[in-house]
Amino acid sequence: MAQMIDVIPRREHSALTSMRYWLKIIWQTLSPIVIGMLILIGLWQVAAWISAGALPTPFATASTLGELLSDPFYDNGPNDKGIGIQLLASLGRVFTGWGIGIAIAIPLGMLLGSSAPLRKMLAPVIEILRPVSPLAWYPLGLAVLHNAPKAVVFAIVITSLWPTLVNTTMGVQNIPADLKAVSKVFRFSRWRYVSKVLLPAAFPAILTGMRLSMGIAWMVIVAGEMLAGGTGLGFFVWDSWNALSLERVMSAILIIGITGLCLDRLFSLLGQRMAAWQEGGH
Amino acid sequence: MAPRLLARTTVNSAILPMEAAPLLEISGVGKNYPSGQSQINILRDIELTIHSGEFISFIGHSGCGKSSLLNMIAGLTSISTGTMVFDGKPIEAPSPERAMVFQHYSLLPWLSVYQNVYEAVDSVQTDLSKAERKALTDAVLERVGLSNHVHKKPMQLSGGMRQRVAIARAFAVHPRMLLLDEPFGALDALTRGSLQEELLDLWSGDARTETVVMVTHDIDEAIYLSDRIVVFSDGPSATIKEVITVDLPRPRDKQSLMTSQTWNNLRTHLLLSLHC
Repeated sequence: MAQMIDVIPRREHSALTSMRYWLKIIWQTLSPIVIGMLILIGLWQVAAWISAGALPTPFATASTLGELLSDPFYDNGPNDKGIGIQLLASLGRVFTGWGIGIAIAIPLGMLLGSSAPLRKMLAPVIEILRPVSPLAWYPLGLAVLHNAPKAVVFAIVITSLWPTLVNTTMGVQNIPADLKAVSKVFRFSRWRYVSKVLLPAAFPAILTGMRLSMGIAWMVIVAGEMLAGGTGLGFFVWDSWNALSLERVMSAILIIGITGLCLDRLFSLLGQRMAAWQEGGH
Repeated sequence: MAPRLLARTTVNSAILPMEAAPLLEISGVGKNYPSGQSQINILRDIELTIHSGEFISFIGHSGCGKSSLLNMIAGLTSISTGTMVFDGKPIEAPSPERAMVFQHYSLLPWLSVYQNVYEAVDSVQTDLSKAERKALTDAVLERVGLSNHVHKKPMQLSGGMRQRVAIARAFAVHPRMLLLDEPFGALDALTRGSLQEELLDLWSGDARTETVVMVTHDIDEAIYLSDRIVVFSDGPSATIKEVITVDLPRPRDKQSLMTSQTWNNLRTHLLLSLHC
């Protein structure tokens, strides 16, 4: 974008040429996205044809999605709720699990990042637990918590804490030696070091970790709710499959994807804001 | 005090008879770094005594360990052999008594100019009230000419201004000894010149910070600023090659000095000493 703005001709230009210019910018920005979307929809349509009706067409899905979105918050008892209610239920669990996860991961990562012996001690534990499939934790949560939705939150906590833990550890480990030296020479207290040096220095890495954790949490929720049932987008997908409505499944997939994208963008926006602020912008 | 003087080799006590106890005594100091199975010797047999009120420069080629020695004086790096005694006590850890200015400024980029100085003042000057700490911060920033930039972040300042902040921060904690690690190495020649003068002003004006040790690559800088110049031999396993006394009166005026015979002699001597 920045380079494009530099291209604005410096000689006098009328309102018309400037409007043309902006139309061109908008076209240049949007056209690749539109073309990409058209390709996706085209492939989807072809897949629907080849599968001889097993897969719903984009148009059938669009009309189902329209119906779902026209009344997102209706509630006709436990097995028939609007898509908005399901989305909010999923988001609630995701944020609870992710929040608990990062509340564990950030302090632990700060400790690990500051202590090489602790890192050596816990690295094997982390490397063993990290690749475990989210769903493997679900029965454990169920056994301890005796509650299916809470067990899903438990699985999210366990699986979403790793990226934040690893990134926080790395961020703290990579604090420039000069800044550590400054804190020692000027005899900063532990609290002053953590609040004025460690946290701001590691913040970009922590934010990246939080973003990756959120991505994982959002992936786990759908699978978890398929197992847990009751409410949520995962339950909605499984319920729609049982009702043999693949249009609803596809609609849910679109909603899941777009929500995931929005969450991710939220974090990158936050990251850019913080970086600009740290360097003195606003 | 007396036993220590007797225990030392007689060379120094002969030159400086019955003088006040030195501020810093370095004797037999060496530094080894582990390298795989073995150890690499960086510095060996360093003998140096620094008295209160002196301006000392360390000069030598890259990799001669002069910065390592400065870090050891700061307490940031441990010594491998020998002893290092500051004000009667062995140096074990960093202390604001030996404040440091780093080559790359080492300001906290997320804090404003004011906060960068204030955090150090607030951490060290615990005897002062909050109002006095703030007043001290304002005063040092004014002395380095940054009163109009206190709310800026370091990234918004030029290199010279950033180093002024770092120098202000170091002076603000009233160190007994100020350590400077190639403080002007990253600056252009004009900025370097004016910062050298500002440093001399601060040093001669501030009675509480009377001793300075500076690492430099620059021969003119060393002569202009120092009372004594410590020349290092080439590394690895470097040591002090010679200590040159700069016998030029203060306050020094750069322009008239640079044409003087003493200056030229020192310069030639240092050039030869460093190049063979």
